[in-house]
Amino acid sequence: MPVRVTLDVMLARRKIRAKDLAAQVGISETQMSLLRTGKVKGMRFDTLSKLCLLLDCQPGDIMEYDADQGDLTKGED
Amino acid sequence: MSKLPIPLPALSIVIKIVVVVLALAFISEKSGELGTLDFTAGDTWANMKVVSLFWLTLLPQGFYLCAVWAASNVFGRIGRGDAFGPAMVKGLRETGSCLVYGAVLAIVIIPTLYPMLSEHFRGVRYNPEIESVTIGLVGIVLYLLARQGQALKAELEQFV
Repeated sequence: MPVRVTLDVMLARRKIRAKDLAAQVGISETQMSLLRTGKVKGMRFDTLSKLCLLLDCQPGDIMEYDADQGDLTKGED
Repeated sequence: MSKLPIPLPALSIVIKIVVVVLALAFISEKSGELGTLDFTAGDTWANMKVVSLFWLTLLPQGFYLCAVWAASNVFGRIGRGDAFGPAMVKGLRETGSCLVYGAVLAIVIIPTLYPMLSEHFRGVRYNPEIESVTIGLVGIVLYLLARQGQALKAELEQFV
């Protein structure tokens, strides 16, 4: 089970538009949309730190993970 | 990426000028050798064949110069910070391809075609000179590196 991005929850709580957040973080709206839907392969730490600063939250507030043993063997192909 | 001390866009222009000068000098030098060829008086077809074969043997150098021209475009793109973008990948591929075409011409095609057309010899000949083989292999490496770089960039772009 991959890490799930729960950015939408924080966007709603902080009442910030995704478009405005993308502009402040320095990524495109397309990349923000892909991030919100979990279709990116990964996130850079500087992007994550900017998100946390702007949303006044911790990384765990915008990501969730459910333990899955299958994740140990994923990505080896 | 740290900046290189060399102004690459300016170097790109300099290389293009050098290519043009080299090409003109090469054509001028080889044109001078036309007079030494074995022409047959009154036989236009045979003389045309002699001249065509002469210019055929110069094709590898033409392709190498094309490779240098394509490489100058790559220098310009690196200078503008275009890291493995579509245009730069195309430039690297063009450079590699031209080197390979020139090498294949020098190693196989011209050694085969020249006796075939001049002496009506049938069969494949090859001339595996160290320079041509090296140039060809470097061309293949460049082409493969361009593809690999493009794949890596596509993967990196999936990281936000």
